[in-house]
Order: sequence, then structure tokens, then C-alpha cells
Amino acid sequence: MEVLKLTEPFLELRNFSVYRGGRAILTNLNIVLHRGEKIVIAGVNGVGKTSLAEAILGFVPFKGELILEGKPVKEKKDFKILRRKVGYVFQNPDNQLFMPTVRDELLFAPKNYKLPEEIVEKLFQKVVNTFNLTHLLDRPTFKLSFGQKRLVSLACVLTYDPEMLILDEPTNGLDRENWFKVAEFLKKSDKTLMVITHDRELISFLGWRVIYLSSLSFVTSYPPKEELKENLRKG
Amino acid sequence: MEFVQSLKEVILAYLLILSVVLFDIKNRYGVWKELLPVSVFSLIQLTFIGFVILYLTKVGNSFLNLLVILFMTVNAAFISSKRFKLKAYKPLWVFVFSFFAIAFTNYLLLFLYWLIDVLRTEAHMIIPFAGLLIAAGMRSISLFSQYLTDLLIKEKDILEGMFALGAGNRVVRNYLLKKAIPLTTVVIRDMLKAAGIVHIPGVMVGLLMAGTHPIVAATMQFLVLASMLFSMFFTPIVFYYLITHFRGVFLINPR
Repeated sequence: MEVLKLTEPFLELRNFSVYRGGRAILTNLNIVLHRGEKIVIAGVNGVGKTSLAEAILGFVPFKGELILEGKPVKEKKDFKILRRKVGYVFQNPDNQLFMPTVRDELLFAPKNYKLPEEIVEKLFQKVVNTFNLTHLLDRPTFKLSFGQKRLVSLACVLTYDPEMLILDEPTNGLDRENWFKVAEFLKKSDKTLMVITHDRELISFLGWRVIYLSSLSFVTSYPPKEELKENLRKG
Repeated sequence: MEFVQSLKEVILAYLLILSVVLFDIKNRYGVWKELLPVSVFSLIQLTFIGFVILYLTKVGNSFLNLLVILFMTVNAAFISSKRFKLKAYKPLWVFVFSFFAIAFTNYLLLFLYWLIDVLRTEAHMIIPFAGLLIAAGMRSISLFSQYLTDLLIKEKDILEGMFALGAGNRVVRNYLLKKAIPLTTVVIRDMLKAAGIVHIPGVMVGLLMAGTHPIVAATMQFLVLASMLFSMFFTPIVFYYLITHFRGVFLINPR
């Protein structure tokens, strides 16, 4: 029973094709992501890594099947449920920063999801401590440096505690100190993670399964899925 | 003599329109195609409504006056809905919501006028006033639609960011209204600011020429400007609220 639980797919893409401007930019992708599994999506610039993430979130059209916890995601309401469970950290942190202060920003998602106050308080403190944001809380978001924006954009997804995170180039533009802060967080996190990056140092630091997207949409993956299952079974 | 004067006015008007059309064609701004038929119909429509008002004043039937106002509202809704370019919303829905927004906001104003005895239901009074307000509502929806489309393109990523963080239709709608409404109302806000120091609005001039006391003319004009502000502020809000409440908030390329 325990083994079944571990290997139950959290997110599945079946014959998944992503479209931009009516043209397929990724075709027939098949990815299975298990609960607690962590993968890296890599590939050259413009291959469609970000579009893949945006399609999963329902912002970009796609064909094929998107399955979350065994249920197909098709309608607007399904995507609403998906977004509650799958947090997305944008490549450009400015996309996620639109509130007046960092504090407002961190509380934006919990407020939208109407989380109980005591849980929000707990998550808020945890996130603020993890990324040392206390001194930034009342600062206007537009006055933050790029690195600070990056940390806040990650933090504001964590304050509503989604089960899975998709992070698009999470270390892009970070200095050494913040790079380690983010990389360590990713390594230690117990969430299901999909990290989109072409930061080779991060890929080798994390040591996770890598799905490489090429211009031919040919997908390679290592370590092999069977090996991963074996690792999961071993616990 | 009056006919000759009218002819001079029409010739001058068409010369002005022609100059705009020629300049537009030369520089490819792209408005001339719309201007040519509009310039013909506009004069016909104005002449027609002139005779209609004259006829209705003679007949003195309030019900007929209200029918004319309804007809004006349908036209205003049709014209403004044509400016709404988002394909995610079916044109019929856009027209229906546009009609309800214009009707709700401006009929409310006409009712208030009637209630405080500013306006009677006689054709020569209610029809021009209704036209003034309905046109303001129509313009505001057209402007709002344009700004909304621009915003949805320009701020697509931010709006996706909001949805990704669990924002519902209400939050995103408020964000878009907060950005678009100041732009939509800039003309009427400027008119309010400039009233009396840059331009002397038409209603006041008419009243003054008819021998009305300046204070009475000024208060009436102020009420008209305030009503136009009300119309231009609330019509697009009601419109966008209705369309997003019943059809949802869509981004440019939604799924």
C-alpha cells in the first residue's frame, strides 16, 4: 500500500502538444511526475520550456491530456484547482509583484485562497525566515533589487503552500549568496518540483532527473524512470 | 437665405472631413474607411432626428419619446460593442451587456432629472438630454474597450501572475478597472476642470442666449457635466462587471 502511494502520479502529460500563435512548438510530450518527485526541464533558449509551464497552468493552448491526481484538467474550474495545488514561479519576478509592499505580496495568494489566519501566520513566518525577508516586509516591491524580487516571487508562492512548484529559471540573475539560498531550498524541499533551467551548475547541484527539450521535441531523461521508481520504493 | 447658409455649412463640414480623409490616406492611419460612410450617414441621421423631435413635440406622446430613447440606446450599444475586440466574448453578449450598462446608468440619470423636475418628458427636452448621456456612455465603453485590449496585451504576464497566485475574476477585474477607468474618464475630467476657463459648454451657451440668469445656466451646465462624469465612469464599470460576471475574465489568448 505504501509503495502504491509513493508511485501514484501527481501530474501527467500525455501526448501533450503546446501551441503558440496557432503553431505547435512542442509536440507529443509524455511526462509523468510522481508525488514528491523532483525534475529539471532543460533545453536551449526558445525551445518552449516556459511555454510548457504556462500550458500546464492553462495560460497557453495545448492539445493532449493533462492529468492532475488522476483527474483530467480541461475546464476553467479544473485549472483553478490545479493552480491551487501547483504553484508557479515566473521567469520574470516582476510578473508576480503587483502589490504595494512585500508584506501585501506575500499575503496576496493566501487571501485569494481564503486560508485560515493561523495557518497563514505560520506559513508567512516560515517563508520570511527561510529567505530572510524581515527587513524587506514594508518595502515597496518596485524598490527591490532583482535578486530580492526573485526571492520574494518565490516566497509569495510558498505562503499558500501548494503541493507542487514549477520554477522557471529560479536562479537567473542571483548573486552567489542568494543562488545558494534558492538551490539549498530546492534541494531540501519535500514538495513535488519541476525546475526549468539552463543553469548547468544548478542542474548538477540538484542531481535530479533531467528532461531535455530539444528543437525536435525529442525528450531524453536520466536517471531512467525505472531507477527513480526503485529509489522511491527504497524510500 | 437659411438654405444658402445651411449649404455653406455642409460644404465647409465636408471640406473639413475631406482634409482629414486625404491626410489619413496619405499617412495610412486607417480611419478614412470608417469616416466616409459615417460622414454621409451622420448628416442624414441628424436631419432625421431633427424632424422626429419636431414631430414628437407636436404629438406630445411621452411613450413615443421613450421609444426613441430606447432606439438610441440600441444604436449606442451596437456601435460601442463593435469596438470591443476580445474574441473570447461573443458579439451578441457584448451587445447585450453594452445595452444594459448604457440603459441602467443613463436611465437612472434621466429618472433623477425627472424626479427633481429638471427634465420633463417632452420630446424637445428629454431626447437631446438622453442623447447627450447615452452618447457619453457609448463613448466610455468604446474607450474602455480600447484601453482594456491594450492592457490585456501589455500586462498579460502580470495578469497570468495574478491568476497563478489564485486571484479570482473579482480581483483581476478590479485590477483592470483600476488601470482602465482613469484613462477612460480623462476627457470628462479635463472638461470639468476646464469648464468656464477653457470652454463654455453648449447647454450653458444655449441657456444664456435664451436669456437665462448666469447662475441658473451655470448650475444646469454643472449638473450636465456631473451627469456625463457619472455616465462615463459607471457605464464601463457596469458593462465590464456584467460581462465578466456572466462570461468570466478572459486574457487575450485564454484556454
